[in-house]
Amino acid sequence: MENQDQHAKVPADLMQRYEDNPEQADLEIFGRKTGGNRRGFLKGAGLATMGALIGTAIPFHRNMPSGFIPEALAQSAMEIDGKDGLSVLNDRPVNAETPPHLLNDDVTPTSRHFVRNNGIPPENTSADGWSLTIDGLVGKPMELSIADLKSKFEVVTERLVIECGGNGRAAFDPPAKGNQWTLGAVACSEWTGVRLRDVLQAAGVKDNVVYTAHVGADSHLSGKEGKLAISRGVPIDKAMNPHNLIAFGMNGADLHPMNGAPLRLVVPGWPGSCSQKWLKRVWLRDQVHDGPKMTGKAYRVPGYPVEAGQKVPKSDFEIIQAMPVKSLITTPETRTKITGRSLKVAGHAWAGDDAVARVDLSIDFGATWIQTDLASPANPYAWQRFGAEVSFPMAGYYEVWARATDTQGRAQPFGIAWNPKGYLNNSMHRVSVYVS
Amino acid sequence: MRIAAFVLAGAVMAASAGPLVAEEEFGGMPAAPGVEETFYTCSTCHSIRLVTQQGLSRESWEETLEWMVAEQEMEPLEPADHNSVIGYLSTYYGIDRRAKAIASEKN
Repeated sequence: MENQDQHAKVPADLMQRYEDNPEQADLEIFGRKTGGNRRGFLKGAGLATMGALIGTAIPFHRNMPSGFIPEALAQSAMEIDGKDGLSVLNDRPVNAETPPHLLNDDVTPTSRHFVRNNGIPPENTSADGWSLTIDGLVGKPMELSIADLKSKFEVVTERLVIECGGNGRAAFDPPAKGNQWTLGAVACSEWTGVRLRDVLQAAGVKDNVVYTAHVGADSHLSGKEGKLAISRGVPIDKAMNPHNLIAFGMNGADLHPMNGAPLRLVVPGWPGSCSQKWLKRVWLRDQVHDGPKMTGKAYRVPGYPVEAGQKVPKSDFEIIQAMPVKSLITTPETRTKITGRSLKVAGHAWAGDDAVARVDLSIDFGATWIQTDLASPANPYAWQRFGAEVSFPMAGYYEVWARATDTQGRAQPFGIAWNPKGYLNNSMHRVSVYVS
Repeated sequence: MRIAAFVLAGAVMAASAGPLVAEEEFGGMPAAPGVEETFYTCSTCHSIRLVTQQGLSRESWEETLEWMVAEQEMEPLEPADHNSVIGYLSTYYGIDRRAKAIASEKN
C-alpha cells in the first residue's frame, strides 16, 4: 500500500485545532472533508481498539480522519496490563474472563480476577484526592476521603465472591444478547475495606429508605459528558449486610485499575453489577433505583419460567437478587489426558446469599454421584473448596461433572433455565478427560 | 481533550488522506453487502467484538438498534443504511448462527 512507509508526526497543535474547528482541522491536516451525516467516520478496527487501549473516550471520534489506524492494533488478541491469562471477549469496553484452570487458587490473585467494564474507566484512579459522597435520604450527608474511611470506621478483610450476572451466557440456545461469558466471570479475592453498613449507619438511614443508588467515575462509551455507564443499587436490607464492603484493598495491595481502583463496592452473592467500581457516591432512595442498567431488561429475568427463545413483555421482568448455587472444576483443566485410572478433581463452590452444603461429582453423565470433601468458607460469601479422587473403570472418554447443593437443598440444574438476556446460568460445569 | 493519546498509542499516520486499513478491515466480519455500514455504525462507541459475539433474531436486532438510539447516544440511521445494517446482522449474526456454524463444520 502506497502510504505504508510514511510516518508523519502528529501536529503539535492538533488538539487545539480540532477543538476550535474539527471540520477545518480535518481539511487542513488530512485534506479530508468530514461532517454531514456520515456516522462512524472510521475505517478499520483501529479507532475502537485504540480507545480501549488508551482507556478513554475519544470525544471527536466522529471527526477522526481516515488514516489513523495503528498497525499494532490490528491484532485481535489483546493483553491487559496486570492481568495474566485472561480470555478477552471485548476490548471496548474491556471484558475478559478467566479460564477455569487458572482459578485454582483459594484466593484469586489480582492478575486472574475477571474484568467486566460497562464504560470507560476514569483516567485518574489515585487514592489521593478521591472522595466518596454518602447522601440522599440520610440524616447527615458525608463526604469522605479514603483516609477518612480508614480512620473513622473499622477496617476488615474478607474473601468475597464476585460473579457476573451473565456468567455462562454463551451456553444459551438460542443465543442471548450480551457479552458471551463462558465460565470465568467469577473470582474470590481478598478484599480490604470498611463495611457499607457502618458507613450508612453513621450517615443515618431514614425510615422511608427502600434502596441504595451507586455511582462510579467510569464514563459512558459515547463520551457524552455526565452520562453514566452504569448505576445500580440494592434493597436496603441487602445493603445493610455486614459483608458488603467499601473496598480500597485487593489482595493486600491497591485495586487493579480495571477492577475499580481506588475504591469500589463489593456486594457478594448478588450480580457483580451491584458492586459498583470506581465508587464516588452512594445515595439512599425511597424508591427502587432507576439508574442505567437498573431498568428495562438489564439484570432482570422473567417472573415465570419461559420457553427457550420466548418473547417476554418488558413488564414481566423482575430484578435479579441473589445469584444461584454454582461450582467450578479448576483442576484438571478440560481436555486433560491421563494414563492412570484415578484423578484428583478439585474446585470451588458458592451459593448466593447461602452456603454450599455439598458438592458431588459424576463421571457417567449424572447416572451416579461421588460426594467430595467440602471445606467451610473462610468467611460468609467466600467460595468453598471441594475435592475428590475419581476412579475410571476403563480407558475412554469421560466427562467429570460437578454439582453443588446449597444449604437450602437447591442443587445445580442439568439444563439452563432460559431467559432472554442470558442471566443466571448455574448449570453444571463439565470437564473432559481422555483416559488411555 | 484526549486526542494526544493517539501519539501514545503509536499511531501511524499517513500524511495524505488514504486509509491505512488494519489487517482485518471489518473486525473479521464476513465481507458481504452491508458490512461496511454495519462496521462503521456499530464500532463508533464500542468494539465490534460486542456485535460479533451475538446471534439474534431480526426483531431483536431492531430492538437493539432502537435502544442504542434511545439510550446510548447513537445517531439514528437513514432508512437505507438502517435496512442494510439490520439485514446484514440478521443474516450473519442471526439466531441460527450456531446451527449454521455446526452445519458448515460438518461439510
